[in-house]
Amino acid sequence: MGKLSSLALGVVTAVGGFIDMGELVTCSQAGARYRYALLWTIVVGTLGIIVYSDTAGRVAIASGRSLFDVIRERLGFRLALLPLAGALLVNVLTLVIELAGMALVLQILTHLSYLWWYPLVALLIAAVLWFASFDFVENSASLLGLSILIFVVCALKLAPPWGEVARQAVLPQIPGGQGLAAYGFAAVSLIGAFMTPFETYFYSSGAIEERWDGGDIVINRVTATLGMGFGALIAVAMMVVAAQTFFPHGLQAGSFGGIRVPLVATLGDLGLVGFLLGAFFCTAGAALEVSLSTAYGACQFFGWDWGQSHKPKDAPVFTLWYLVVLLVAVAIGVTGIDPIKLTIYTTALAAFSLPFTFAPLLIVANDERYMGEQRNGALANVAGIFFLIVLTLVTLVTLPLFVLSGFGGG
Amino acid sequence: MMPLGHDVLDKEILDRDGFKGGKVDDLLLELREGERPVVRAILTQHGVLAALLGERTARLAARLRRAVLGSDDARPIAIGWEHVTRIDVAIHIDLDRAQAGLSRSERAVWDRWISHLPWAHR
Repeated sequence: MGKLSSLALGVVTAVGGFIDMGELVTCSQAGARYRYALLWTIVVGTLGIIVYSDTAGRVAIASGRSLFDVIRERLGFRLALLPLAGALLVNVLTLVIELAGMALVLQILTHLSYLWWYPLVALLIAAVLWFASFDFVENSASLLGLSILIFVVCALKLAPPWGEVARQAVLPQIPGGQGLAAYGFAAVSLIGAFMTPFETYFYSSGAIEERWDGGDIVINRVTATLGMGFGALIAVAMMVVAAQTFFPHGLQAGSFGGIRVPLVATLGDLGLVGFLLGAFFCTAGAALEVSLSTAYGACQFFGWDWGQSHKPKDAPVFTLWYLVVLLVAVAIGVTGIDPIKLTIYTTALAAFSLPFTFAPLLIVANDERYMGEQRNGALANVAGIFFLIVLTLVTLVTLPLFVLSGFGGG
Repeated sequence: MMPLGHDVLDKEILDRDGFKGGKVDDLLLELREGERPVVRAILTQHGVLAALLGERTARLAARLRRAVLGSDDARPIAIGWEHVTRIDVAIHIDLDRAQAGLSRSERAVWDRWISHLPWAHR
């Protein structure tokens, strides 16, 4: 017992966290505009999130300390306020777009504006968190979210030149007439979408909540790799589908509804049903995880009791946090702010913020007093430092690219 | 020997049953004429952190706390240094968190907000 459910934790993080509103929007747009020229971001982003999750999971198991717990301990209160504030901002914006994803699916189904659905889907998320246990959240979201595999079916049916796809994943060829700054900003946004920070907070907290122990280290590594790799496969399919259908005609998946067009054209009703179910439950799973992640982060930072397995009475501050965060997200969402644009900005901001949490984590992973025998080895350090450099470069170029590309629009 | 800033400050406080009781937000030193300064207590919760950020932030935080917790004139909690039993990745104390007053804000949030929501008492 425990091993299989640990693996399930990895899969739900993959489906609900890896594939969410961020991927649905950024992958479709990238494929439509740049064909296969941004596939490399999936490779970089996936390897990055595997390294990050593996480190966070190992720290959680070895020391019993969660991510924001150790961030505050290592940086001190004042300095740690920066990553905390960044994480809260990115998480709230992420929640706004995930709820928008759920509401937009309902708009397609009912033809009623997503703004009407917005408060209702938030209420649904609040109700699930209020009543359900951690296992329920985990299993239901992951199972139903698997419908998003429809993108893989569609990609296979469209039969792209796979040799070319593989080649461009390593040696990208930017289509003519596209500005470099816009291409660069799209790349930052994609990396932020693949490495969405809440996934790691959720993963680290989940490992503590499920009481993983030293024997789970291997499971942890397998989970991180399998789960994220599984998500990457779906992301490749999403980009390829848009590249095969939108790109040749110079079209854009301009709206959320537009993302389903190639699926429906290729697979008919099956494509539509798969998209609606998959998109709804992937964004719902992500909305659940990001609400919890925000409450986890704040409680770990200030030392309050936290945990989805606690009843509201046992962790009232934790409960208050996720309810307030949902309220704030609804207040932002119902203003009618463009969910597609907000998605691109949010994932770029997420990419920008990554080194601020990853750097202290890497320091703790090397601290013997926390880690004991599970301290970072040479390989983990080479990988960790390599990604820290990559992420720092991403942080440095985000703002200049944002401005040069005409605020992401290019 | 261990450095206070590195090994005590900002660590989690666990009570005698292993339950969470906040973080070590600050430390209280006793200074007496002609004697060495001694660490007397751990300070936690109710404005200790906000005080570190300056007076204006402290006032703002106090107003926010009153709004959330009710008209409570809660002051920072001091846990006598003699109650610290062990220091590892957390600070272990030999008190019960409720008795030490460490659960006061959690209880206030429950009484004032969460307990009024439907099916809160299940």
